[in-house]
Amino acid sequence: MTFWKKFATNFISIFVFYLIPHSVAHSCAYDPGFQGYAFFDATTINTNTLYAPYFLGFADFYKKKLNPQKDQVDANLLEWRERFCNLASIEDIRKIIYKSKVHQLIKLQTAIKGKAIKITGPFSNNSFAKHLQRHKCTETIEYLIFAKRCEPYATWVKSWENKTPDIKAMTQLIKKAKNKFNKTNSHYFKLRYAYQAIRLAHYAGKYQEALDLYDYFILKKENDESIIDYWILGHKAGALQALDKNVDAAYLYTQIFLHCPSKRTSAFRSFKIKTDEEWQHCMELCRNDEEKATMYTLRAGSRHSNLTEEMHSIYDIDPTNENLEILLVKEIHKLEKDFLGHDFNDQKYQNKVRFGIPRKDAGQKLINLNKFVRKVNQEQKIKNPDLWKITEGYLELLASDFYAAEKTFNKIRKEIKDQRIKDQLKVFDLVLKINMIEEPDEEDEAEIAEIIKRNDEYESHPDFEDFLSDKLADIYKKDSPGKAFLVQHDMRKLSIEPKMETIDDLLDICTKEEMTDFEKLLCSEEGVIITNKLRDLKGTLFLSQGKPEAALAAFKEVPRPAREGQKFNPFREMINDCINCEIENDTAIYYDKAGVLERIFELEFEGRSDFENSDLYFYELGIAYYNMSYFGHSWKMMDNFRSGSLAKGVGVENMSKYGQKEMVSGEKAMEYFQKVLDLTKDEELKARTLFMAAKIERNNYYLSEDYKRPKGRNMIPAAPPKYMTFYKRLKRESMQTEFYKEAITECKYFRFYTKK
Amino acid sequence: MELTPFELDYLDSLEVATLYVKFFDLDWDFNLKSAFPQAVVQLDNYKSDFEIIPTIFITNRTLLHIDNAQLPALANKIVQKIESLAISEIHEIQIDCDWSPKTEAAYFQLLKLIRQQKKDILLSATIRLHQVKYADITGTPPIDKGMLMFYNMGEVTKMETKNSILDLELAKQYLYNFENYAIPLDVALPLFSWTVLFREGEMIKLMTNVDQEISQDSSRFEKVDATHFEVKKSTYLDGQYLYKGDQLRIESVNHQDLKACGELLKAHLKNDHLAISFYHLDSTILNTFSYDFLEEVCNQFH
Repeated sequence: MTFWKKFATNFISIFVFYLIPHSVAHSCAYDPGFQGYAFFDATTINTNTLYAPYFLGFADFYKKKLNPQKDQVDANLLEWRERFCNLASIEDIRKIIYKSKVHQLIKLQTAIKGKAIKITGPFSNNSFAKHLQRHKCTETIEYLIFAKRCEPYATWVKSWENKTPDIKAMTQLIKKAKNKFNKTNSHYFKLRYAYQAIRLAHYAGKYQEALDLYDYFILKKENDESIIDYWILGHKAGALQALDKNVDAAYLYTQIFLHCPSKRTSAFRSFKIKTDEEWQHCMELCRNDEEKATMYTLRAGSRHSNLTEEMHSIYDIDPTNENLEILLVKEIHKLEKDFLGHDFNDQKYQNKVRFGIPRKDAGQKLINLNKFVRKVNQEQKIKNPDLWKITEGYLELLASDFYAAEKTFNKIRKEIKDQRIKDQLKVFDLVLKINMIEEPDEEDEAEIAEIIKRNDEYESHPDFEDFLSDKLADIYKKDSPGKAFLVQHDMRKLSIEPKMETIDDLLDICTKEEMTDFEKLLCSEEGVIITNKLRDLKGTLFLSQGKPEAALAAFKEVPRPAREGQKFNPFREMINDCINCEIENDTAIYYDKAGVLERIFELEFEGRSDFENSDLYFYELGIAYYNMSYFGHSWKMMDNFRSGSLAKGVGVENMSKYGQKEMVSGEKAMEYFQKVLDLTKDEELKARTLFMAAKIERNNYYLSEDYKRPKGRNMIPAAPPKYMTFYKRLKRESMQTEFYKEAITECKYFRFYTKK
Repeated sequence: MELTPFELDYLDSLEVATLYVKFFDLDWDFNLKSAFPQAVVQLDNYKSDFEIIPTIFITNRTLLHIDNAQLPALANKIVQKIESLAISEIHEIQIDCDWSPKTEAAYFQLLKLIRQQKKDILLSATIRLHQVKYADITGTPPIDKGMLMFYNMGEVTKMETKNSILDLELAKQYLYNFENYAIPLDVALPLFSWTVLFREGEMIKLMTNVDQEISQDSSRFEKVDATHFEVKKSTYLDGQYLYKGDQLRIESVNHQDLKACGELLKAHLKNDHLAISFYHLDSTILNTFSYDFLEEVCNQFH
C-alpha cells in the first residue's frame, strides 16, 4: 500500500520558502530605546575623516545621515564642474545630467552643432548648456545623449511589475559604447564610455564580459584620475563577486572604500569575506599597511564587532591610522551605556530587560580596553596622544575608580594642547564631580545650584540634566522624597501621581524661611513658588481619600486670591454626564474648592437637623459626590488628571490603564441617594434619585469584569439585569413623573434601557 | 527556484503532491510610502508536476502603515502579481503574516479583499499557536483554512532557550482552544535546522548549514555540550566573523520529537481533510530523514 493510500485523508506538502522566525508568544510593544548618558563627544576627534560614519555604528549612521545616492550625484556633478573649469553652476549641470530627457539633449546638440542657433526650451538660460555651445563641445553632448539612453537599464525602481533586464538592448548599447570609446578623442569621455559599457555588462549579468571589457578598456586608458575609475572598479568588484572570486572583489572594495567617498557606502556593504583563508589571501593582496588597516576597519564596521580586538590589529599594523580613534570612540560609547551612572540610572531595569545592558562581560571589555589604551599611551606611537590620555582617565571613571580618574585628569591637564580635548576634559571633570556627590550638605547643594544655573558644560551637553537629576534622585530617595521627586520630574507629574509623603516633604522644604539656592530652584516653576500648588494637591488628595475635613484645612491654606481661578459647582444637576461641562459662563453660583467643602458640611448639617427637608439636602449631597467623581463635571475637585480610558475590571483597583488612580467610586453618592429613597415622599425627587442611582449602577457595570464592549462604535452596551435594578425601578415606579418624560427625551441611554 | 534531482526523487518517493512556494515578501517602503514585493520568486523555466500553492509573507509594518483606502488596490496588485508569476492554475493562495492587535483590522480586511478578487480559490493563512490559544484576543482571520505552524516555539534570541524550533513541553502550554477555533487547520512541521550565534549575551545571527563545520572543527570550536559550542579563536564561518568567546547553539529537530508531534496534535486538530506539510525543502536536512520516517511521522496523526 502506498503512502498516499494509507493516509487517504492526509496530504503531504512541502514548504520551499524560508521564513523569518516568529516565536509563539511575543509582543509588538513600543520600544522606548536605551535610556542612558553619553559624554564622550564624537567631535573630539576629527569628524572630517573619511570614516566618520563609524561614530554611530555604520548602520545607524547610514540611516540617519548618509545618503549614498546623493553622495554619488554630488561627486559626479562636482567632477563635471571641475572638468569644465568651474564655469557652470552645479544646479545647471544637474539639470542637464540628471533632469533632462533624451529629446531635450538632442535639441541641445542641434544648437551646439549649428551656427548661431539659439538655445531654447528648458536650457535657454542654462550656464552649462551655453558653455557647451560656446565651446562647441560636441563630444560632451554626444556622450550625455548616450548616457541618457543607458540610464533606464542601469537604474532600478521598485515596482509591482515583473521586470527582467532587456539583455538584447543592453548588449547593443555595450557594443555602441565600445565603438564610441574608440572614436572619441577625449580621454575623459573614453573613461565614461568604458564605465557605461562595464556597468551595463554587470547589470545584464554578463559578469565575465564585464571583466573582459575592464581589461580591454584599462589598457587603452590614459585619463587623469577620476571618480569614474573607482566607479568602474566597483562594477568590476561586483562582477568578481558574482563569479565567486571573493578575495579579488574584497580587495577592490577595500580600495574603493579607502579612496572613493562617493562609493564608500556601497563598498562597505559589499565587502565580504567568507573564510579565514580568504581573509589571509586578501591581506596578501594589500600593497601597504594602510590598505591592511582598512580591511580591519571594514570588519570593525559591522554592528556587533569586537572593537578592541580590531583596534589591536590595526594598531599593530599602522599605529597612526586615523580609524583607531573612531573605533575608540565607538567602543567608549558602548562602555558608557554599560557603566555610566549604572547605580542610579532610573531606567536601568528596562535597559537590562529590553537591551541586555550592561552586557554580560562588560567588565572584561572595560579592562581589555583600558589595557590597550595604557599600552598605546606608553608606546606613544599614535597620532593624537591627548585623546588617548584623557581616555585613560575616562575609563578609570567608568570603572568607578574616581580617585584614579581625578589623578589622571589632573596629571594630564597641563599637557593637553588640542582645544577640543581640553573642552572634552572639562566635560569629564563635571561627570566626575557629579559622580562623586554622596550626601550633599548645604555647601554641596549651593554648588549643584551653581552647576545648574551657570555651568557651560552642563548647559551645552544634553545628557547632563538627566545624569544629575538621576544621581540626586538616587541620593535623596532615602531622606527626602520630595527632593528626589522634583529633581527628576515636574509638578504636573506630581499632580498625576500624588503621594502625601512627597507633598509634605516638599511643603516643608518650600515653606522654610531660609531655603538654599538649590531648594529655591526646586521650589519654583517658571519663577513662581509652588507652595500653593502643593497645598491644593494635598487638599485634593485628602478629598480623594475620603477625608474632607483635612482637605478643607489644606485648601484653606491657599490664600484666597490664589483660589480665584477655581470655579466649581458640583451641586449642579445634569441628566447627561458631561465631564467637560465644568461651569457655564452665565452660571451665577460657583465655589472654590474650599467653598465646595464648606457647602457640603453645611448640607450635611442641614440634612441631619432639618428632618422635613432632609431628602432634598441628601439629594444635593448625592449629586455633589457624583459630580466630583470620575464621571461628573466637577471631577477636578478630587483628581488632577483624568484618563479617557479605563481598563476592564477597573472597579476593583480604581486604576486607569495608565496606572494613575481614578476616582471612579459612586459609593458615597449612592449612600446619599439611598437615604433620599428611604425618606422622600416626593415622586419627582424619587424619580430623579432613581435615575442617578441607575447611572451609578451603569457605571459600576463599565468598571466590572462583566463588562463587554459593544461590537459597533457608539453602541450602547447592554448591561446584565443585576446592573439594571434602578433603571427597572424608575420605569416601574416613576413612569408618570415629569422627570421620567424629560429623561426619556434627553437621555439616549435611558431611552435604550427602558426598551429592554 | 530549482529543485535538485535528489529533492525531486525524495518528493516523488514520498508522493508529495503539493509545494507551498513563497512567491514574494510584501514590505513597506518608507520613502515611497507604499507596499512593494521583495524577494520575488522566479519560476520562468520551472517545470513541475507538483501543485504549486503561492504563498506570500506580509510584514506587520506594511499593515501598520498602509491607509485603509489603499487596501483594495493592494489586494488587486497582490492577486495580479501572483497570477503573473504562477506557472499553472491557482487553486489556493496562502498568506503568511504574524498579525498583531494593531494590524489585525487591516490584515483581515486585506484577506477579505483578496477573497473578493479570487472567489473560486481556497484562501489560507499561516496560524501561530498563540493565535489559536488566544483567538478571542487575536481574532480569527476570514479564510477558508489555516496552516498551523508547529515550530518556532521558543525565544530564539534568549541564551537559555534550549531549542526554539521545536519544544514539545512549551508547545503543550499552547494546545488550548482548538475545539473552539472557527477555521479548519492543517499543520506544518519543522524540517530545518540552524545555528544561533550569541555575542556578549545577545543573539547576533541565525546561520544555516554550518553545524557540521562547527561540530567537526575542534581547533576553532570548543564543545560545551551536545548543542552548545564556544569559539576558541576568532575566525570566519560562512562569511560571518566570529570572535573568541562567541557562543553557538545548534538547533535542529530530532526524530523522536518530530514523531511525537502527531501524537500531541491529533487530539486537537479536528480536520477531516488534514494536510501535513514540512517546512522546508532542503537537501541537507532531507538527508537526515528517510522517506519511511516521514511516513511514520504522518502516521502518528491517525
